[in-house]
Amino acid sequence: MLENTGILEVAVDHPRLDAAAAPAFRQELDGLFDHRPERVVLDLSHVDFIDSTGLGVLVSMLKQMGAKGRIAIVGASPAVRRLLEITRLDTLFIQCDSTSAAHDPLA
Amino acid sequence: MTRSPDGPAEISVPARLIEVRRLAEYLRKVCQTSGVDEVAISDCELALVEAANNVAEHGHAGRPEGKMTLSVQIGDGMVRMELRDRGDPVPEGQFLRRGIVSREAPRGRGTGIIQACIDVVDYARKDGINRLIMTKRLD
Repeated sequence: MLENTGILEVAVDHPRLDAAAAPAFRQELDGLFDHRPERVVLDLSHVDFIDSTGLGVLVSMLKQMGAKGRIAIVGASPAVRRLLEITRLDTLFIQCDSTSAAHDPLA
Repeated sequence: MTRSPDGPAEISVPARLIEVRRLAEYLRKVCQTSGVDEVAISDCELALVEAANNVAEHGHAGRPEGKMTLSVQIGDGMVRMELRDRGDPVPEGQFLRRGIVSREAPRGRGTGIIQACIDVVDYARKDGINRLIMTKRLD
């Protein structure tokens, strides 16, 4: 996980963001969100699977960022994209092909 | 893990969240061996994980000694998953209703996800055993 100018870039390295992994993931993000970033790029290219609990962590994170908070997801696998569509959260998170492409919509 | 020549493939694991991924891996393996396409496998995996999470988190809350058993049968153009456990019953009508979940809600999407991924969901409890049957058509 690394930070760039103005936008927090987070590379998630849990291949499965499921209910078993969610508490540790939540804890990792809490540490990164201490200074309340308003714009975040989440790189999910190493994530093969997310369930509703893992997704709940992302939703909580966005809520924690406040009204101006925006999260862009990059590298989502077909399974992750499908989950976002099913839950209609594809309208809550910005989806981009790459980290660099995510900077414009977040600006 | 067991598999009779014509019967369903079956696996039992402790009813804990950390074990759910073993069910998912097993389901994947059985489906891949039978040539099920990746999109259908992903849907089945997601539905199974949501159902098994529910068993571990709610059905067996505070009772880690329980187990859950997955039977998978593939044929006639469908994947049939049966999840059995002896935990607390699922609230009546749980799999029939699809509540409205706020976009900002961190929880409460499991049942809706199962309904979106699976064609037929059937739940019954008999003799203290919960049976959740999820059938996915492969057309």
